[in-house]
Amino acid sequence: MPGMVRLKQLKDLELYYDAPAGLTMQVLSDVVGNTQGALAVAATLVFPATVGRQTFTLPLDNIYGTLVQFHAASAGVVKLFGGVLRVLDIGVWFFGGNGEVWDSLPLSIGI
Amino acid sequence: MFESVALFGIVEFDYHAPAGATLHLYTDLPGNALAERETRPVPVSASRRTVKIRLLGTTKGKKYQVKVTSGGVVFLFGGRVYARTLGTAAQWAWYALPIAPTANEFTEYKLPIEATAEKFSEVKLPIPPTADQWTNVKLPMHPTPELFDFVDVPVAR
Repeated sequence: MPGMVRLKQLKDLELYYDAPAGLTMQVLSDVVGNTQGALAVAATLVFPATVGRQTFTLPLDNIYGTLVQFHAASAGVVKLFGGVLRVLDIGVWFFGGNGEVWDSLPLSIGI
Repeated sequence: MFESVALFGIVEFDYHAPAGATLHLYTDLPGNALAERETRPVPVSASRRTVKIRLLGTTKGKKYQVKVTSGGVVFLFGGRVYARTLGTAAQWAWYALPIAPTANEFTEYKLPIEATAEKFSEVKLPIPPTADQWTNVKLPMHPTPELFDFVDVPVAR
């Protein structure tokens, strides 16, 4: 819901994992291609195969969303120990295509 | 304090509008009712940028209102109006528009992955415990009576 949930810019995803066959992480967002709609794949991150536990960070440039979802898949066994998503809260955003506008409301310079 | 008339010169935005946008400026003069006095295009931007939009230089009002419309998505990171009061020696100054601030730093969100314990925990195997003390176990021997017993002797008659 624009205006109720602040839009977030996704920066990167850090995983702490053990995946001898590697790991593919799909990032789904409700804002793909500067339009808002149903959750869709916004990025697919390929995390490398590991020997034992490892921390790895992959970038998520220019991906936005109010809702995000992650799907992890692998051809082998995966052990997930933790993950961190770094995001930036955007001040104001709106979809003009939906008829939304930004309105300051009446102001005075107050002098 | 709100009776002072302001002259508006510039509107500046820190924004990102892949489809461009339009600035609408409303003031209450002339007529003492807010009405649209100027519209200005806000350029299409491929990324976040700033733009200074020059106004007519004659638009004035005691109250003003700014609207931004677009056919696409618009990100507003900041905005301000360059104005000065009329009839006084006041200088031109910037007045911030009420745009919610965008954070200067990224924040971290932990994924909902169940935490892995930092220490090993003990899980007992299903092996019956060994007793701490010896226990008596009777051997399978018939007990010997404590007294003699009569036994019939088989004598032929």
